[in-house]
Amino acid sequence: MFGASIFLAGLVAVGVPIAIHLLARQRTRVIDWGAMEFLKMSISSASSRRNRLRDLILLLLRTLAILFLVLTFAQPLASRLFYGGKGLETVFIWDISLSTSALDQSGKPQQETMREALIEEIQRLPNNSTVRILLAGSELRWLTPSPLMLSSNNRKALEQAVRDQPVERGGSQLASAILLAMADNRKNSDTQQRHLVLVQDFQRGAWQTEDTDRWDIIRRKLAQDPEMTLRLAAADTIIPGTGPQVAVVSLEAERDAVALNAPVRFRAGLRNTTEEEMRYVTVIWLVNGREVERSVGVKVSRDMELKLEQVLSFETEGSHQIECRIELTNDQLPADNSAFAVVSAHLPLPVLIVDDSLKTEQGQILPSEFLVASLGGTLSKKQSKQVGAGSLFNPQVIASKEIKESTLEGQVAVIIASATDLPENAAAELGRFVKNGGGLWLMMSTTNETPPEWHVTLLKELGMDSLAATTRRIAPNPETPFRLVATDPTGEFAERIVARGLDLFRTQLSVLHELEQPTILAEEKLLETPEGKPVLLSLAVGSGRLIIQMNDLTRGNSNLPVLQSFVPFVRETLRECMGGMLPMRNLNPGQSIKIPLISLAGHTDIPSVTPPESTARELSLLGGEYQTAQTLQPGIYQVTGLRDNADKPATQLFSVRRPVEESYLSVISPKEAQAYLQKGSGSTVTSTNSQSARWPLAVWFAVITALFFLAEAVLAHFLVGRRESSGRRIELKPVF
Amino acid sequence: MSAPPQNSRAPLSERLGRLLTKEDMGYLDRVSFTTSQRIKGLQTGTHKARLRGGTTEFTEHRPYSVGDEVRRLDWRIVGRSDRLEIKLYDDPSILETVILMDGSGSMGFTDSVRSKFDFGCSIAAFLSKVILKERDPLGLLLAKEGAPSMLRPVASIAQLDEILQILLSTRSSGPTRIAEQLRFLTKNLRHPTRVIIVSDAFFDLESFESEIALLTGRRHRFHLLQTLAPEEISFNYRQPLRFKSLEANEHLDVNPMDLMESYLASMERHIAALRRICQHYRAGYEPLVTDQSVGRSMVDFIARNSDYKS
Repeated sequence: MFGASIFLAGLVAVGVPIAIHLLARQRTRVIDWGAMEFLKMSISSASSRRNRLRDLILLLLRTLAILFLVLTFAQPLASRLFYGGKGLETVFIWDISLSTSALDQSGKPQQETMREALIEEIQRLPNNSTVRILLAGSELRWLTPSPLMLSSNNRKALEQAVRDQPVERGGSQLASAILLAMADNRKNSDTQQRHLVLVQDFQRGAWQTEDTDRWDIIRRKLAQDPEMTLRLAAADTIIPGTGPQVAVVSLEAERDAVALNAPVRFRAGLRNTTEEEMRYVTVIWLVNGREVERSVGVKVSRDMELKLEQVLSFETEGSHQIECRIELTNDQLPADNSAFAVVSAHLPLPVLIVDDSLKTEQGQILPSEFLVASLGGTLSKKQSKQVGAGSLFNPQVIASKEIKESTLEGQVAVIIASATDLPENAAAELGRFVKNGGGLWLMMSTTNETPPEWHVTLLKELGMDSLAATTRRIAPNPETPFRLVATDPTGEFAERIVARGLDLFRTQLSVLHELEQPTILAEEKLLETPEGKPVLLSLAVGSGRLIIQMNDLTRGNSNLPVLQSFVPFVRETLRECMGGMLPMRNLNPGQSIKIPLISLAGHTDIPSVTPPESTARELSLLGGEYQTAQTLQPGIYQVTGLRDNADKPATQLFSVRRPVEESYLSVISPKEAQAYLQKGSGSTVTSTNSQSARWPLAVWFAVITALFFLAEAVLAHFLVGRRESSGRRIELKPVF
Repeated sequence: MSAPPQNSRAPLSERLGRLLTKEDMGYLDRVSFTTSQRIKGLQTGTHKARLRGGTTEFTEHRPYSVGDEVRRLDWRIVGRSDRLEIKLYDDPSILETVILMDGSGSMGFTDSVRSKFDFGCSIAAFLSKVILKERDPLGLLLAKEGAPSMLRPVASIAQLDEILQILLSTRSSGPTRIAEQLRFLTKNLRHPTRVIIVSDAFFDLESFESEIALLTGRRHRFHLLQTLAPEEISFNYRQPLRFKSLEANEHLDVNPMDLMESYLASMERHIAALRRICQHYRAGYEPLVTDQSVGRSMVDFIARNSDYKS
């Protein structure tokens, strides 16, 4: 209720005027008086009543003045006094994104000034007020798990937590953070009034200036809720620097899963965002922390992104960290001078392709040939089984009758491009193969009207018999074939295909199998027709994965094999089929890290992930994979507790990209920033360096105290003046 | 000066000295409360003159003193008892005077100066000296509980001694008896008499006026010498006090600052009413404050109420 309740001891002083009033009434002197009747008449007279009333008013004024003076020092809080017991809450929205590491004009990291401003704000908050700090970094999270009621005991700990909070390498979204801070839980708490304070570095990127909808919502909420305020902290002291700023804004690998010793191209993007036309930097390439190349005097022009390429190869299996770093003097934001990428190097992965189709005409290319060529082989009739050096996959084409346990052993995936029948027990063997972690890519023959019996048997073996019933559909006319779209354009599969420039819409399918009972989940569909008919399904079976393609690669039924997109389609679908064996290594913030169970080689240890500049935490088991989506912090993530092919402990690396906008230091002026905070009614919420919109209650108490003292002084002067002026003697006149 | 303890037979001069200062006594020779006024002043009708020649109604005997006219000896008494007694006769031209001295408790108020009663005694002593010096009859009546009976008007120096004796041996106390004593005077005064009331006049005005009406109806006259203390007419107390009644067993705890205006207004109304009564009954009203000089005050009073100036 009071910020400094120790001063309430001064309430004793409230009794002083009363005591003086009572003590004064004690008679220290007795007068033997003769004119008693006149005294009695005087006591009952109106003027004496008025005098007594005036004295009582004076006593009341003095008592109230002292009372309010004591309460002023005790720093009353509106939360308890004005709002029937509900309190004040201050929510700090603290930008801890990468850009806050930039140096200000004095050469000090901007974040230090912001941190000092935040601590100063906390110190100004009275005890018993509630405070929360929302960390607006790559992900929004609270510094303390629940609102903290400030006291002398916990204030220092909170300030220390602020001092210890590191800057993140990700971006910040202030509008989203403000909306989260505005989330109204006041009905369920004692909070009545909420003050939101923005501690940020005036970098335009964080302000989401293009997100006008969010800002409209923010302004509308402020206008509708008079009990909520929003202001900038230390707007006059946070002054962004203006020094040079060159950043490595991106680093991409051509592929993130490569064969051992296969050359892989890496492309880094450098950007000069300063006023200087040209900056010269030193570019350093590192693999697993070891410098492999250095280039001095690389020229980076203003407002241009310089693309640098580097070709690297890897001699050892496992995941490798590649870094592109620049060095330059007086860099305003050194934290963005590096970018990372991860690739995993493998021995060629054996893949079995089952194809019973026969060439019936000259120049015909079999589905298996298309597949081999996509995996790095050639379409040469003679060398159809060979793939080039450096290919990640090692495909082998067999007939369906050759499917048996021995042929499946050691394979990572089986593609049934075309099969007339399966030998006895082949379905069971394939079932075991998939359940034990293998991948099976099953293409529906669109030559047959109904799936063959072996197909039904295989699906039953895999527990997918509900998907066995299909109906063959033929496109109404050649001009309107079935086309392909990604079911989830933002999903990983689509993203990988899009990254490869695959234009699915150019695909033309003239024949397609349609599921009669599409009992599938939405996330199990990878590709579909624009009308929503599933074309490519991805289903988890045991530790493995089943891909069902509702068409085949027969040239008469589809133009897919001849499209430029076919190669990335095959590679990515095969990668999907192989499950987590070839996970995406380079992620965007928020994308999941996935580790298949097979990577544990039957061990029961739960793998852990160590994010950048953080502590390790266990992964969660979901859908047959260990995964985490807490990947908002850019940098290198290490997953431990895994096993390699030799059953030895292994570590896998993943990289989360840094938001490009954090490197673009573009200042937003305080005036412009405050315009975003303008309430819908047009009133502006000002910064802490000018008068706040609402006086603290203590100030009002001080004003009231002054008024009481003034009234008392005026009344006392008036009363004393009247009394002193009446120091007269009755005029006596004789009669004679 | 305060009322001294009972003093049996101190010399007259000593007693007078206790009531009057040398300054006061210096005024005694300058003033004369003469009898010519008695002749001229009467407006309610004629009165018998008290002729030394004894041509009017015999009233009483008194012992022969050296200087008295021999012809006034009552030879019958001389022949019977060998006592030399002279006859006294009513002289309507001589106005007897009775000093009605208020001895109530309120007269005992003493603060910064002397008590009102002491002051009143001084007044009475001065007037007694002046009146008796002119060999006019003067009497004294105390208005208080347990007061001695009236000292009837007599024109002799011995009367002064008696008066002073009574004054010096009296302490003020008890409730006011002015109205009762006025009634007494009305009933018992045989001749038109000038009643000089020495009092603070803190009494009920209605009853006072009714007694005054009776008194003046009997062709008596009165002067009211109201003795007041400076505090009673200024009430300039600042601190809260307990006012204890000098006449009754009661007290009041008040803050004088609260009451000043209303108290003074009440006192002014009372004094104004007294003045009106005196004016109505063609009496003299002389307000006196105890911080004033007795002699000077009496000179002024006598001058205002006498044809002969000092």
